[in-house]
Amino acid sequence: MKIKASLNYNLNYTKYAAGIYMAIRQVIVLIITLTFSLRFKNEFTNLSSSGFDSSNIIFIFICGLVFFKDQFFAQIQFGRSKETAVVSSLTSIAILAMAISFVDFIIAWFYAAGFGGELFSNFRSLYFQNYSGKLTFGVSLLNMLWNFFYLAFIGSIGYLIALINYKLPKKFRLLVWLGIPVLLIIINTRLVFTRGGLEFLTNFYGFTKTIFGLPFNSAGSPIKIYLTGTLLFMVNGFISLLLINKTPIKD
Amino acid sequence: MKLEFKHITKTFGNLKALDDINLVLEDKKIYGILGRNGAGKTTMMRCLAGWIMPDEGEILLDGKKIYGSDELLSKIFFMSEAQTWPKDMNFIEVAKVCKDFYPDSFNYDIALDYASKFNLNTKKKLSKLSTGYVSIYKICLTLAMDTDIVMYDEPVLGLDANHRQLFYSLLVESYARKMKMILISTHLIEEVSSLFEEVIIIKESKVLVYLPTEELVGAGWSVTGKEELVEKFISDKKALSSNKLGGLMTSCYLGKKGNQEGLQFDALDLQHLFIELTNSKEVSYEN
Amino acid sequence: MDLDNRKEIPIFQKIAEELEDAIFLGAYEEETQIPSTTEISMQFKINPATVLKGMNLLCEKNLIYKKRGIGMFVCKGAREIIKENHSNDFNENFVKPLVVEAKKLKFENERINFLIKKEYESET
Repeated sequence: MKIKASLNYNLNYTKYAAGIYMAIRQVIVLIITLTFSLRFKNEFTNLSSSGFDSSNIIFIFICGLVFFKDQFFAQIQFGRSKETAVVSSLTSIAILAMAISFVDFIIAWFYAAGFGGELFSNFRSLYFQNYSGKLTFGVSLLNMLWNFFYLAFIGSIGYLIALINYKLPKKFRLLVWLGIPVLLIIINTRLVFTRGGLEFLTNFYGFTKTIFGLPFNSAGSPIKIYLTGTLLFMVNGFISLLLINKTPIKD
Repeated sequence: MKLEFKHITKTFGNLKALDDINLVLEDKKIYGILGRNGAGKTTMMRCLAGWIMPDEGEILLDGKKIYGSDELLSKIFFMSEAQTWPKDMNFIEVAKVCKDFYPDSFNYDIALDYASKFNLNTKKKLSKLSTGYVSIYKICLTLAMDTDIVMYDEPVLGLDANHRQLFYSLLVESYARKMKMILISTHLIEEVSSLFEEVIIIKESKVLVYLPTEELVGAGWSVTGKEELVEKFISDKKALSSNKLGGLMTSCYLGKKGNQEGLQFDALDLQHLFIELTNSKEVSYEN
Repeated sequence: MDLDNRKEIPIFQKIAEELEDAIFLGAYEEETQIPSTTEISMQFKINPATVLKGMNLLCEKNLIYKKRGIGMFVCKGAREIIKENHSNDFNENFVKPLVVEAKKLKFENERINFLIKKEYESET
């Protein structure tokens, strides 16, 4: 499987998109944090800047959605098999996840080292909001890894959704996009208002949190995501490979 | 180099696009793929490019299955009319991408040279080009590609007469630069017929004809004259079509030129022969 | 520069005739190089293999020869050979069709002679 040229192509435009996203994100964070701290001069709790890395989730999910069609077509046009198209796109998503996580790692280190003074001294990323710990170098690395695994997995979900959407005949697409949220709302409303339903929801919620290692009844484990994230990423990849086989080139 | 289509069948919903296609292409020649709209030419090319998996049969290059093999697929380049080209890239950018994907087969400088010959704006994105220049964008890249197999699907769509002639010239040049198997599908038959060494005619999803161009020249004739004389002449021939205008009758047939008194004979050029063959009810053509 | 229009003549033959005419006209002089297969095929938008076949035809007639590594050259005495061939074919190519057509129109022998004489005199 030849993959280098494919990765070059896939990441070509993504570099700029990711760079711009990161820059804009930081600028927005800075503006909001400064505004807040000026308003509440004595309260440097910087709630505003904590957890801003959650926007990465949306960004990479959208990247996953957008990656599919353009990259699939390009790989096909330039002499690669459909399987290579899938593998190279998912690999690009993983690389993107790593890049984002790494940049956040650097930013966190900046803050920990005291840049930005008291404004960012209490910065708590999503990781620290879930797991306790001091901002040391080792913990920051764990933070970075944690980000990488869940971001890669979320990106792969976006990709798989785009692939399924592409394969569906036009009439079914709207049905899916509207139907699933509506269905979820109905189920949730019915469930929430029954005791058994509430219990089921709580159990399901708890189950999900547990397999992802997020704190639920216990303190949670930041390492679980390595396994769960990887497993789910692979599953998405596998399903994508199965689906891509008979995927037509539609205009 | 041996390219084999073995019992290729492909159906889209209710439509049978390819029906038991069997072909063996062995030489680095220029092949013409002719067929009416919807006959199956594009589907055939897409199967060869690995874009479509046939329902039945397989396509082999030197005995190995093409579908799914990066190694073999990188020996084939397909100039398609589909939306598979990077819309947001200008010519220079996509040429760099081609160089990346085909390091041993793509000639970057030649591609740029061809682009300037066509007056293509190399800084303009593909999505912003006119129909004619979209074709030019694609063919400049394909002409500079020296893979073992190169396919052109309707390459001259939207091109003016001058550019078409330029394309044919450069096609010959690209062939002379490095001999390869070139497959061209086109509707402008007469313009290109002298470039084809072999002709494949697809009719209603099947291969109707697969012959050297030379054998098709002089294979069909039209005979004109008084109705009774023409009727008598074609009574024992493979007649294709007939036209009557008053007492004057013209018939087209497969065979040799006659020399009867009172009858005028004209050879059918490839385009006329094609039209006659694809119009007539007769499906299988014996040599 | 256009090739013969007749559809029943194979292209390689038309190429051979075109080159022969060029040699006869003196455009390609004896012992000089003629354009390559690539040049000719680009000019006429014709498959190079076909052009090569046409050239081989001329080789067989001893009109051109191949210099290895360089290209095709016009043979010495080619013009004479062409002239002789045309003379030999004159009857087949011009006289016979003339007589056939004349007979179709029911012209007498003397009428043809008269027409030919008239044409000769007016040309000068």
